Amino acid sequence: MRKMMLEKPIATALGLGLALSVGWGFATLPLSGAETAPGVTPHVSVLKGEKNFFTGYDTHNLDGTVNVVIEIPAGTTAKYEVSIKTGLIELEQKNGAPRFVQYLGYPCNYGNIPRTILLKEKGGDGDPLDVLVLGASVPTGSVVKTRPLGVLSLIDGGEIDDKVLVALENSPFASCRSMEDLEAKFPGVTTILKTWFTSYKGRDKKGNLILSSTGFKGRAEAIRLIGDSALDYERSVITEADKRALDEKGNPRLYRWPGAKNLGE
Amino acid sequence: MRTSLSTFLHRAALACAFLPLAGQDAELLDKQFGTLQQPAYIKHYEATKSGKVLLNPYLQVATKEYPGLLNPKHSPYNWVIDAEGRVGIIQEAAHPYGRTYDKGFYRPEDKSKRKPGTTENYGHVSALAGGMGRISGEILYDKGTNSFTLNNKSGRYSKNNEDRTPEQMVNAAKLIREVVDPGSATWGPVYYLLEYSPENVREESLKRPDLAYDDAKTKSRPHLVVMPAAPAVPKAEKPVAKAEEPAVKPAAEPKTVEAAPKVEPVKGKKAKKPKAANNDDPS
Repeated sequence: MRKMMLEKPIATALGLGLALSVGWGFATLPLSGAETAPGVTPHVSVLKGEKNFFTGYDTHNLDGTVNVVIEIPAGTTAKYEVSIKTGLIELEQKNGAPRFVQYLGYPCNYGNIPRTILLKEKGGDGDPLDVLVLGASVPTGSVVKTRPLGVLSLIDGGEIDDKVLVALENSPFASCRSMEDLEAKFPGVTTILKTWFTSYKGRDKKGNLILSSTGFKGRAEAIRLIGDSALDYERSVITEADKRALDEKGNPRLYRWPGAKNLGE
Repeated sequence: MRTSLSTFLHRAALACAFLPLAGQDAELLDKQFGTLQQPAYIKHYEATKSGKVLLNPYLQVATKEYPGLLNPKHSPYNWVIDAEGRVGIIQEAAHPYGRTYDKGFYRPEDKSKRKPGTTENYGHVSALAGGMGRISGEILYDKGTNSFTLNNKSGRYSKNNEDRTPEQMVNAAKLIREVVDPGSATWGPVYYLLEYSPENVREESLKRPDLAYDDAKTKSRPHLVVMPAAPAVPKAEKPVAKAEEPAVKPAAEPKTVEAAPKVEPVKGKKAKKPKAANNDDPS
């Protein structure tokens, strides 16, 4: 497991961020000389890592594991998320207040896969691919190696909001090769996850659960979803100017790479 | 203190005794799957301007502990044996730094002319980020027999090397069948393509009585069938609770594949002879 503990994250939060940071190995710092007027409560908590959390890490590693940036540790309720604009991890704000899940703490670690995107034009939410990480609780801002197991199909307000389910490397769940394997070795996990994620947002005015699920899909679907979203991210940021120029006849030029035999020379 | 020093020396001696094993493992892997070699070339679009070779977004690294998984819809795949004897598997997708050439183009790396409409795809090097590899090739789905065939077609890691023999292809195929789950399909024959073999092996193989061609009349694509298809293994259905799509079973391929009979074609469809390679693009 590759961990990056946030030693000195930038924080615009004061007391709240400090309170949240206790026990996680990082500390939020008040802005120098910042004072608040009576009745004003600082809310924003922003965490800065060694690299940009959205773009600074590869999707895959050479050993085939998938990197995940942990936003919400298992057992906690603060809704931290990676900002694709800043590459920082920010505490979500809702109606002018920090957002905490009004339910039991997350049943697993929650995060996203760097350099992936669910494009809005393809029905996505424009954010990186969300991931549920099975394993011991991991601090916010950690970048961990995982193995895909399947996909939890979720529908939020009529929109598809699927979550990839992965096992944390070197955790007990890492011995699972598939959803069947998970069900056999760790009975109840899929039921717990489905119950929690369809329940934590509560019910609508009609009394129906806001979130619904059609169940789990297998590992093949997880591999496809990760690959498609990684490819969509790269295609969305690479422009013609980033590509090597062709020669005057429109053919590629010979490229010499230091680690290759370069037989075309 | 004396005891702890003695323990330390004992452990150090024990550790030193195991050191040659690492070398032996590498030697064994060299023999089984070919020596570690740099890729023959990196195409202009495969590295960023800072020289980084992108990993394939669908990368799987198959081992006994964590088997790979195939889906006929995503064929063709490329495979490569890495330094540690693992099997890297990737899908052929359009590379984000690549282009599609409506009029075709000349590729300088292998001095070849590409057909109009050719798209620059992720190649074998995207399984290793341009790193060194052993024997390599393709995994192709054959609809007629519902099976995946294997070959040694790789312009980067198989061609232009000292080894990469038919025996190494057999060893690689045995490993792949052991650590990769073909899903609802079976394993088809294993081909050794002479166009991707070392020159000395090619010369010898051209004299073999079992030499075959994709088209005997034109003598196109000379090859050897180095392993027959594996027998179909019935898989017990075991659906995941409330799952939309059944998850895969762990790979459990038979080891006695050499003596296996060929898989019967799907009834009602005229089975075509599977081609030894997918296309003419030596990725």
